[in-house]
Amino acid sequence: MSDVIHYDAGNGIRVNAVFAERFKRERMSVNIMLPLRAETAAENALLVGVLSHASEKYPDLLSLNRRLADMYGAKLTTNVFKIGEIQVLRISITSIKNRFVQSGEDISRQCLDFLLSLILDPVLEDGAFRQSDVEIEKRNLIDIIEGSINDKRQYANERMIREMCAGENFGVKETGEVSDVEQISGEMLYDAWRRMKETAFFEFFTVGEYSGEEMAKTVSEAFSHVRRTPGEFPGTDVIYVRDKETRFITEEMNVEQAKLAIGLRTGVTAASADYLPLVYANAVFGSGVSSKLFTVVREKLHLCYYCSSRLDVHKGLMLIQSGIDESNYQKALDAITEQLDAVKRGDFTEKDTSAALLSLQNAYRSVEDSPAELESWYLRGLVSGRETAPEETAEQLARYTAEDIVRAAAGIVPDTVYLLKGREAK
Amino acid sequence: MNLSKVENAVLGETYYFGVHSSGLRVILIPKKGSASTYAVIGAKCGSLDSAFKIEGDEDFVTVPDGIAHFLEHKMFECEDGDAFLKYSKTGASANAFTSFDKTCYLFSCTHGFYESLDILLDFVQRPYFTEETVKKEQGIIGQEIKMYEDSPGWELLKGLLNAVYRENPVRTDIAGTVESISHITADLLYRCYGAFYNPANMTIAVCGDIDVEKTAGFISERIRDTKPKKVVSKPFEEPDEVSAPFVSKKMQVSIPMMGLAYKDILPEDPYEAKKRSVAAEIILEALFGEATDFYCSHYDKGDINTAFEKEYMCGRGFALTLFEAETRDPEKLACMIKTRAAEAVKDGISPEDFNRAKRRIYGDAVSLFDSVERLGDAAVAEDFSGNDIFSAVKAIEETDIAYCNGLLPELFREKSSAVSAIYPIDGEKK
Repeated sequence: MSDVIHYDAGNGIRVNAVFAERFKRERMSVNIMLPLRAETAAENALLVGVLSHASEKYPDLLSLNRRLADMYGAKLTTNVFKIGEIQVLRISITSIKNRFVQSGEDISRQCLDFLLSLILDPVLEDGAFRQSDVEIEKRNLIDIIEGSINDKRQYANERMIREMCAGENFGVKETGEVSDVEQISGEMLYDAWRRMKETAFFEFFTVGEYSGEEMAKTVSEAFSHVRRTPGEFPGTDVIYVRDKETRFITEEMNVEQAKLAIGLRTGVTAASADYLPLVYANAVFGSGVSSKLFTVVREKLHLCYYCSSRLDVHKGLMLIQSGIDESNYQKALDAITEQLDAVKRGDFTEKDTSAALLSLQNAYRSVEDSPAELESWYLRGLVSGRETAPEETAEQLARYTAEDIVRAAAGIVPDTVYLLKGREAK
Repeated sequence: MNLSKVENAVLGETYYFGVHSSGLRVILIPKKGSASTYAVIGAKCGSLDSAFKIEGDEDFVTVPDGIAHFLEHKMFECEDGDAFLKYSKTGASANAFTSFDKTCYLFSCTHGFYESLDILLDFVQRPYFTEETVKKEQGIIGQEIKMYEDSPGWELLKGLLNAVYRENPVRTDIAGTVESISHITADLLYRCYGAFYNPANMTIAVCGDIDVEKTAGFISERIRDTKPKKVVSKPFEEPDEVSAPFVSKKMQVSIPMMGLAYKDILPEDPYEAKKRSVAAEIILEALFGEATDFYCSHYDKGDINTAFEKEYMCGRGFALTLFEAETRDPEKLACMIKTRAAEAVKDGISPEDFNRAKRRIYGDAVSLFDSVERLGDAAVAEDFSGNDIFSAVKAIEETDIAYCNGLLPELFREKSSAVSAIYPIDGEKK
């Protein structure tokens, strides 16, 4: 079992160390936590691309990538995502552990220095980011934003959330919009970088054997020249209205299979007392092969290949997805609604709850086997304030009963139903 | 069942291997400290097994496309209830997959390992198909097929395999088509099962914090002794030439996609085949990896983006060098890759590029041992090809630059290459 230990590395900068001997690779990351806002989402997302394209020490992509290769094939990955209404910019580096390095070099320390130099020592020209780097990464980011249409399932989900949370920060795309990306200049990006450096919250992680204390010392030294003025840790507005008319949206595209995405409000977050009962209720209803959505909508009615639900426990949402034949739209929608109603009525068996419990416990305990999942688990814990280890959570879950499930499910209210369907004339 | 112990000192890893009296091959990989245990049993039955016979039979039987995958779905159905339902009593996360050359049934669990293993070993040995349940599955798989038809990455690869191969059954879609699966009957499923799901045609791997002896005994007791059968695939002659040098399709995508493949032939000897495939991976990394001039300059020029990928893909009876990318001009990018490959054929790879690439590929091979799932799957795949989980690391260590340079002209043969493109429906953007 791996617990997390926190180290303070300066004003709003924290190092989180998860000690794990069992992996062959060492993982180090920085998660830059920023409020998700329409005005700044694009430039923040672009920052990640430009910062990992070149640095003062490795001034072009080729020298930067060669440096990574020389650190025994260290791998750099970047990620922009949201946790509730926080935009998270993640840069991670994984490399083989020092004990597998025959030359005796401290590869882990080299990786940490490399990571820090990416975020703090970029290539600058006259108080701006280098124009060529900015243009290359702008095009790349635009490709990524426009590319969301290539995965129809994900696209449908995104479109639904955008409609459902229009006017809320959660409705902002984590990568920003193409029109915003197009307008960013090297100067604007420089301002965004300074703002990030000075005001963002930084959550560093080390998962493996590298000392958290050592990392905190190094990080704190690296930031010693930065005048830090972080404000409040960014938060999320949880919107919950009980009696709202459900909105129906249909879009057409050249697709073989229609995609159904349904958004519901739960009002329950990871900080709520009913958090675990809701997780439990969701498992009975729609996550996994023992859930009602799988056993009824797929196995009994044969309406789809996939139909499942998941929770966003930071924003207080439930998201349902299925791929169906367009002609079965109403049938599928009715069946899904009926399954949710059944959970609300308490129309489920002890077999159902025990299957849900076991499957959740299995999923929680498996977190221990992946450095990336361990990081995500504890990062989300930091944001929500619920910092229990996976094993402890697995045990807590067992305390809840069918009544708790019914109570938690009672508050789930539909908000938006989105259908992506094929064009009429095919 | 006697177990032999195989160790790799450099990696600090060990596994145990044994063959059950039925012919089932058993691989047990202890991973101290792992929270989950992973078990996977595979049958040498994939989408390319479309025409076969049992040794001794007179005629080959040709089955509908997609039957191996259909069989995978239907194996979960048991006379006494659904296997998923049984797993729901243990909490294991269970699944299955069908590829070109195999079908695997798997689960991972953090507790109740033996109960789950019991379920797995039971349902793979007890087929139960009825016309009614077959019919029902046609609806579900029909939706799965449609889902894949909307996936540009999958359509790109499908187009490419069809273009590059003329006869090889790897051309056929793994899941088949809505039309082809409509011809599947319970009787055909039993026939397929009878031919391929014979312990002598299967391998099981278990990976996790396990008691090796007890696990071996548990498996041994539950595998029924069946008379080994030898399945013979209908032979085919694949020419060096491709079926079509260029294919394209329009889909709802944001930017065109390019696929380029060179077909290759693997040596008969398993370890020689492994050496060839790791050398090909090193070559691809040395010529087109992220730390190469090719990658960085074309990235900076906007010819490729982060979606650029290269891979040496191989399995039973097929092998190809593959490139996939998002690009504004697929034909131009294919041309640039071919030009770089031709240059390398002429000049060889530089020692620096070779060493850097070899390190990278080695690092990737080592990271396999950090995931019980990936390791278990690899154990089955390697065993099916006549190798083991340490073969790749060993082959990488043995690969030198001379071997790679010698391989270059065989890898990049123009006449054995084809390009597949996907273009956006609404005309090309920008």
